[in-house]
Amino acid sequence: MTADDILDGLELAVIEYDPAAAAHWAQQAVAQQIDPITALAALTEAIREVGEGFGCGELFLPDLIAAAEAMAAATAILEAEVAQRGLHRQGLGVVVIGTVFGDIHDIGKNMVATLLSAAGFTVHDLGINVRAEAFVAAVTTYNAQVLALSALLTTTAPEQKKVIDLLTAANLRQQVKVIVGGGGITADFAAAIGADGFDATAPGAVKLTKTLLAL
Amino acid sequence: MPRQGFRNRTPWQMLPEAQIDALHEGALRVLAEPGILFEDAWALAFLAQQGCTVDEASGRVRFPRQLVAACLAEAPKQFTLAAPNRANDLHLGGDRLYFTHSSGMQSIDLDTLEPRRPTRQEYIDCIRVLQALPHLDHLGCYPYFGFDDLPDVLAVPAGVALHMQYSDKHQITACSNDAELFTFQMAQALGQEIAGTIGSSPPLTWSSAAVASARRIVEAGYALTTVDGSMMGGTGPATVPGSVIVSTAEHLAMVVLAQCLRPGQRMLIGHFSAPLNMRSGSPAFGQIGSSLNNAMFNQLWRRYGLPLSNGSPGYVNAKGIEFQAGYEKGMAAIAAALSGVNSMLLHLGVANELTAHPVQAILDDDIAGMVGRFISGEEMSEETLAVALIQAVGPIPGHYLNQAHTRKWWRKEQFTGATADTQTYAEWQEGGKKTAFDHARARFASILAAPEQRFTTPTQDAELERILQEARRYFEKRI
Repeated sequence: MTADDILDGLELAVIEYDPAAAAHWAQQAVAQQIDPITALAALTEAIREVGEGFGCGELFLPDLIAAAEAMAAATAILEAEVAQRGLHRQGLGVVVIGTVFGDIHDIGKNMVATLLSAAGFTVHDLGINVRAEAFVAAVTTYNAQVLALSALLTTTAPEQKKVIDLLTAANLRQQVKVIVGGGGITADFAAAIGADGFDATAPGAVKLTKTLLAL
Repeated sequence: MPRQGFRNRTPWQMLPEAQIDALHEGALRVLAEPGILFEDAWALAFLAQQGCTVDEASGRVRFPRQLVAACLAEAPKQFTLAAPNRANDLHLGGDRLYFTHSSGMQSIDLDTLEPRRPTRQEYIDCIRVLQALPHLDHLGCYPYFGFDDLPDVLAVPAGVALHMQYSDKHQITACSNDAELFTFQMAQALGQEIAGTIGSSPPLTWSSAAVASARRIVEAGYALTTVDGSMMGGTGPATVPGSVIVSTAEHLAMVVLAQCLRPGQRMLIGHFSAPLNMRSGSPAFGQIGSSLNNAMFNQLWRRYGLPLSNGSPGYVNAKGIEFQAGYEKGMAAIAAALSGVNSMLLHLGVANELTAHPVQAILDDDIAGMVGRFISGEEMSEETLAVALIQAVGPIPGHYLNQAHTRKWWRKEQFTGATADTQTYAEWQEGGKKTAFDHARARFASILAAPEQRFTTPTQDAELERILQEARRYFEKRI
């Protein structure tokens, strides 16, 4: 088995929405001592293809989410290897993303995370129902340039302000751009709570992120 | 393999069987008294030979019940209509539903809504759109009642020739004023099958021209489509059941004539009734009365088993391509489809029979897709019940977007119209706030931007032109 076989296997596993295969090829990559950064790049290329398919209407949400899950299965293994080797991964930037505390909806958040990954960002997804303190800690841990906060419900939207206030209190507000989104969020609300940006769609969130980072 | 169309395995039963009995009995009583007027000496003599009671002086023909029953039994319940492209063959009858188009005297300016006579190129463009639409299963009569300075009497032969040149779908064409003398020549010259349509003259009358056309269709071996057209309160009773009885009696009379002339003759029974607009005297297409009429008629004729067509869904009271046209067509289409019709005119008509436009047809194709999806119903299986999946996913944080089951099934379960706006509000704003009408206009332009496809050879074109010239000379002499 050559390195190319393994990299092709990783790409194919994402395109065919197969988390088990993705994990298998990631383990093969580690076993064969393939550069984990190169293996992660193969995954990024695959998710970029899926993202493009989604953007032009050929693929849909189930494809996007399934591809993202396959990618995540491999990424966990490869990122552990990156850490093990003390390597540093170059990308467009580091994004921390999650759904705020009290809210357990993650479809929109997952879409944004997937498309950001596809665009070349390193995305750390904290999941759902994330406390403000956890967001602030993750910004520091991952040295994030962008923090993306999702809230579907109008009742949980104020939690986004709480996160921003906590960033300010921790003197981290100037080092990270905060973008907000979700069904109950509007541009006016985003401005009112001091966010750096808002977009109603996942592709729009990617554009917004690039704009904020002047990419 | 014929076109798949859509399948309606469990048609809606509007009436209990006893009330269907009453409709059937009513039609038989009308066939016995007052009978049907045949304005045709040959038909009177022929039907007398078959056992009907004929009053030559009045032209009335009275039909014995046994003869009607025998002829209904003789008529094929399902049959195939061959298309130039055999992948477009139609298998009419049973539980299958196909869509076709209505027509208009004129085209319409999309910006001013002013009717105007189409050019020949616009006529061709219209056929190209009908050819391209996925849910438009076969071509019908026209789409416009002429173009440019073409004499009206040549509209049918000229239209049939253009259908042959620009489409490989089956065409069911109008037969009137001897047009079939030439359209059948065209079909034979190209080795194609077409079906012929004749119309009754309600109430309870078949004209000499219709009988002559019926004989030619039967003798040519083509399928015969009979179309009624009683206007409720005008040329038929104001009540739906009474109107259905008048229409049914007219069809049954022609079933007897056709089946006696050629046992096993393929027939498509076309229903085209509407309430009468009691202010203007014009047909009130688009009214819910038309849908009730179709549903009742379809249920009665499903008992007889002959393939059925409904015409009224293709015509509306709306004057433009707008909300009223959408709800009138949508309501009519779903009612006709649910009640088990096999072919339905839906696409193209804009304002009654006055105007038609391919942009309307593009929008109508989405209605056809939605209606077809609805009547197709649901597959019930372990996989669609998905109990094992529901158990595996469980409550939150479980979800279904990441499931292979979702990727396998969601497209089949959903139907999204090609012209329907499905964007988010923000995308819609950024995209110029386009409506379905805007999307349909864009699709119209896109279809016409594709290379023009011809389905005839230069030799066949020359033969069609020769027959058209022959028709022109024939009709010039008659005029």
